[in-house]
Amino acid sequence: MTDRTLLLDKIGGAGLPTPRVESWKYTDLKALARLNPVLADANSGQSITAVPTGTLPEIEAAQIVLTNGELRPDLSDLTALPEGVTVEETDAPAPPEFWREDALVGLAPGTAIAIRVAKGVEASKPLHVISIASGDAMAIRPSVTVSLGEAARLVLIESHIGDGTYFTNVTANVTLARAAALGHYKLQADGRSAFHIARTALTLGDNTEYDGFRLSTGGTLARDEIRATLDGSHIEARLNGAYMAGDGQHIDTTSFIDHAKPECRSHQVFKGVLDAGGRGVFQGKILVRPDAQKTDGYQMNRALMLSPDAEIDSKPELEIYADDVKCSHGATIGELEENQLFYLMARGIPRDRARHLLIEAYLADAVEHVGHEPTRAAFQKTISAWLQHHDGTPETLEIRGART
Amino acid sequence: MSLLEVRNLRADVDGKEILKGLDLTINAGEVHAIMGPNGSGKSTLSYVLAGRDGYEVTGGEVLFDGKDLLEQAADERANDGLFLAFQYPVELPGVAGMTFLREAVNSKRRHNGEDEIDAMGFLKLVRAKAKTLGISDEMLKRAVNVGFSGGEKKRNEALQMAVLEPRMMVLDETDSGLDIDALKVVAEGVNAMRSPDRGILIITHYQRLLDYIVPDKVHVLADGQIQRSGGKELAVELEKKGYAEYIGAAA
Ligand SMILES: Nc1ncnc2c1ncn2[C@@H]1O[C@H](COP(=O)(O)OP(=O)(O)OP(=O)(O)O)[C@@H](O)[C@H]1O
Ligand SMILES: [Mg+2]
Repeated sequence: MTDRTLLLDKIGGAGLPTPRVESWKYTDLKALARLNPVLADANSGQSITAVPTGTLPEIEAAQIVLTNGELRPDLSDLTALPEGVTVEETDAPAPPEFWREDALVGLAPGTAIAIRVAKGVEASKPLHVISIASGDAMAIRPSVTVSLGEAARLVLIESHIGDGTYFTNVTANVTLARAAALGHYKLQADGRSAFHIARTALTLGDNTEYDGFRLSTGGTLARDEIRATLDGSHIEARLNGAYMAGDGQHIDTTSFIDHAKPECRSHQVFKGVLDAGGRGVFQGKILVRPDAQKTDGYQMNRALMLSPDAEIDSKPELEIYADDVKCSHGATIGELEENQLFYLMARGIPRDRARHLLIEAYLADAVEHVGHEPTRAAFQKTISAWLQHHDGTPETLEIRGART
Repeated sequence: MSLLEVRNLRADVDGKEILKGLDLTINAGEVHAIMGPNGSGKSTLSYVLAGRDGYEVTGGEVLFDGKDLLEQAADERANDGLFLAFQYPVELPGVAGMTFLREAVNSKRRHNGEDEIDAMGFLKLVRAKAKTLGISDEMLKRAVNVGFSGGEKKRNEALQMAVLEPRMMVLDETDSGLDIDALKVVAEGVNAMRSPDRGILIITHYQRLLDYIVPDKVHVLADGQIQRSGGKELAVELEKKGYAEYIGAAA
C-alpha cells in the first residue's frame, strides 16, 4: 500500500517557514514547496541493497544504516555493537519546546533510532549512522536520539548521502548525563539536487564534554540547525564545522548556544568555501542567561569567496544577561591571495592544484578541531575529493539496487 | 645557444613602464649579478621572468633554452627549470613545508612524465639538504614561512632551490636579512649548485655576497635598462661610488 501524502498536506495550516520569519530570513523554502514531495512509504528504501562506498568517510565503526529514513538491520552491524551500547527503534520523543511551533519539526516520524550508552561505559569503537536516500520528489525523515549515561563516552559519526530530488528532514536529539563525553561528527554529503533540513538538539549536563564537527558539502538547499542547551556547570561544548557550496547550492548553518548555568565554555569555528553560484548562510547566537556567570563563549564564521558570484550572509549574535562573562564573536570574508597562488605556481604547482592546496589549508584549521583522529583524516579526504570533483566532473553516487 | 636571452624587454606595472628595453644574455655555467638602485626594476625583471600576473610585457622577448618563455604560465616555466628565489618569500598558513616541497617536486615530475616521488626517500633527501642549510625538522613541519624570521625565510628559499635543482636560478636579494654566518651557509649552498649546465642570476645590493659567490659578469640596472656591464671589479666600484652617475644618465 502506498501512502501518497504530500509534504504540504502533512504540514497543513502554517505551511513551511518563509523568509518573513526572522530565523529563515536568508533561506527560502519556495523551491521545496514547489517540489512538494511525497512522504516516502515504509518500504521505499528496500530497493537499496548495499551501502555505497566512496563518498562515505572510511572509519572503523559499527554501522547503523537507514535507507529512505528507515532502519535497515540487514545492512547494519546491530549484532556487533560495542559492549554497553544499545540501538533500537523507539517512539520518537516529543520535539523540544523551542521547536514545537515549527511546522517541519511536526513532520518528524513516529519512530526514532535510539542509541544509548550505559552509565560508565566507554564505547570501544565508534558508531556510524548512515542515512542513504534515493528517489525523486520524495520526503524522508531520518530521526535519531542519542543518550549517554553518566560518565559514558562515545564517538558518533553521522553521514548523509543520496541521489535524486529528495527532501531529507533530519532530527537528532542528544542528551549527555553528568560527566559524559560525546564526539559527534556529521557529514552532510547529500545529492546535489536534494533538500536537507536538520535539527539537532543537544542537552548537556554537568561536567560534560561535547566535541562536534559538521562538514556540509551536499544538497541544493541545506539547513543545519543546532540548538545546544548547556544545562549544567563545567561543560565544554565545541561545535565547529566547515561548509562548501558550489553552483546552485545554498548551505545554511544556524546555531543557538544557550548558556544556562555558570562556568561553561562553548567554542564555535565555522569555515566556508563558496564558489560561483554558491551561497552560504551562517547564523549563530550565544545566549548567556543571568545564572551563567563565568561563561566563556567564542564564535567565529569565516568565509572564503572563490568568485565574485558567490554569496555569504553572516549573522552572529550575542545576548548576555550575566555580568562576569568572556564572550566574543566575529565574521570574516576573504579571497584566495594572488601572491600565494603565484608563489605556489613559481614552484611548478599548476594553478588548479595551487588553489586546492590553499583551500585545503584554509579549511584545515577548522578540521583540526575534530577531536577524533580517524574522523579528522577522513574529513580531510572528503574535502580533497570534493575539491577535485568540484573542478572536474562532479561525482555521481551510484546506489546499488536503487531505482530499478 | 645561451640559456637565457632577454632582448629589448619592456614591461609595465599598473600602466607604468618599469622595464624600458632590457638586454641580458646568460650562458649555461655562468653566474651574473645585477646591482642597481631601489626601484630600478630588479624585482620587476625577476617577476616578469617568473611569470607573475600583473606584469605586462609590452615589447621584446625572452628565450629560455631557445624557447619563448613569455608565452608560458608560471608553473610551466618553473617545471622547465626556472627558479626565482623571492625577495619577500610568501607565507602559506596551513601548508606544511614538506607538503609544499613534495607538491613542487611531484609537479615537476608529472611535467616530465615521471612517477611521483617515493615519500620516504624524499623525506630523507629533504632532511639532508635542510641540515646543510641549518633548517631544522621542526621548521620543515611548520607552515611555509609562517612565523619564520627574515633569515629563515631566505634559507627556506635556498632549500627549495636545492631540492628542485633548477637550470636557471634567479636570486632576488637572497642575501638581505641574512646574518654573516647564514650568508656563508647560503652562499656555499649556491656555490654547490654552480655547474656547467646551470645559469645563475644574482640580484643584490651588496658586494659582500659576490665575495662568496664570484660572478662572471656584473650589470648595473637603472631606470629599467642595463646601463653598464663588466667583471666582478664593477661591483667593487659600485660599492665605492654608488649609482649617482647612472641615475643622472637615465634622467
Ligand atoms: N604593483 C605595483 N604597482 C605599482 N608600482 C609598482 C608595483 N610593483 C613595482 N612597482 C614600481 O616599479 C618600480 C620598480 O620596482 P622593483 O620592485 O622592480 O624595484 P627593485 O629594483 O627591485 O627595488 P629594490 O632594490 O628596492 O628591491 C618601483 O618604482 C615600484 O614602485
Ligand atoms: Mg627588489
